[in-house]
Amino acid sequence: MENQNSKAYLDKTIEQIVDNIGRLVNRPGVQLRINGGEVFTH
Amino acid sequence: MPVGHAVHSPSYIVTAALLAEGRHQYGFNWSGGLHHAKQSEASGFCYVNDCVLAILELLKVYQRVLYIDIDIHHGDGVEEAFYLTDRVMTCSFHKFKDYFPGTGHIEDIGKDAGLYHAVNFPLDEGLDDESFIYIFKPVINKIIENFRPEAILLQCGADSLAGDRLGCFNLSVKGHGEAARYIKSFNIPTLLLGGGIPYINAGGYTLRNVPRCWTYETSVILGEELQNEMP
Repeated sequence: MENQNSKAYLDKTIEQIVDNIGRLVNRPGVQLRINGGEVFTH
Repeated sequence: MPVGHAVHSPSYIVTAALLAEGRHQYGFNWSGGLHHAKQSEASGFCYVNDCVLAILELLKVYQRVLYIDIDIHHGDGVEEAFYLTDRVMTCSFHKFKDYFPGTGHIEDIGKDAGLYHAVNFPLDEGLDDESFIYIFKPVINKIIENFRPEAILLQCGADSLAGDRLGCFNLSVKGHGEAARYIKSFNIPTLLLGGGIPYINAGGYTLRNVPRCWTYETSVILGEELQNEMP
């Protein structure tokens, strides 16, 4: 089984995670109402 | 108790509320960090998930909250609580194979609105400072760049330190504290949690490690240089 501390593993995992996080840029906007009042959007 | 621009309280609600009010930039609750507790069950020495409750408090004010977990165990209770939302992003660095709680696979990335809002970095035993810092910085930097959190909650489980009775990582206090130092560099309101009472609270099961670790990390956040001699 692959050593999960090897540099190759760390590099590969960083790349996979960073790629996933990069998909957040295109996330759809949301609206949430808190305590029936304030509306948060992003 | 206020400490300059930071506040320490044994109550996660008080600490989170003071942070949310904008009265303090940093908050500490070293007796917290019980990240395994679920909505309906205790788990892994954790009987109430103060991390989740503190995040809920912060969400009353902040749109997006980032949860970072450097305990050696996966932050499963927090991930589960916010797995379906895009208002909280969870990021856990943990030992994965044949280790409690067994969750935290790299492919677990969130679902529905929360897709890509869960980050898991599975690791092997023996992780050292160099490797930890090597992975921590680019991952956190990318999260902050894309998720743009308005508040951060850092679970600083000290069982990832070398010599821990339950843990098997090989981090030094300074390597562990580098996470706090890096988070501070972003100048985002941050709540730091972690085990303060060895054998009872989450994260940190070797008596000499825990107070050293939290004292050092408090000094990092406050920007104070510590002397080796006890006052």
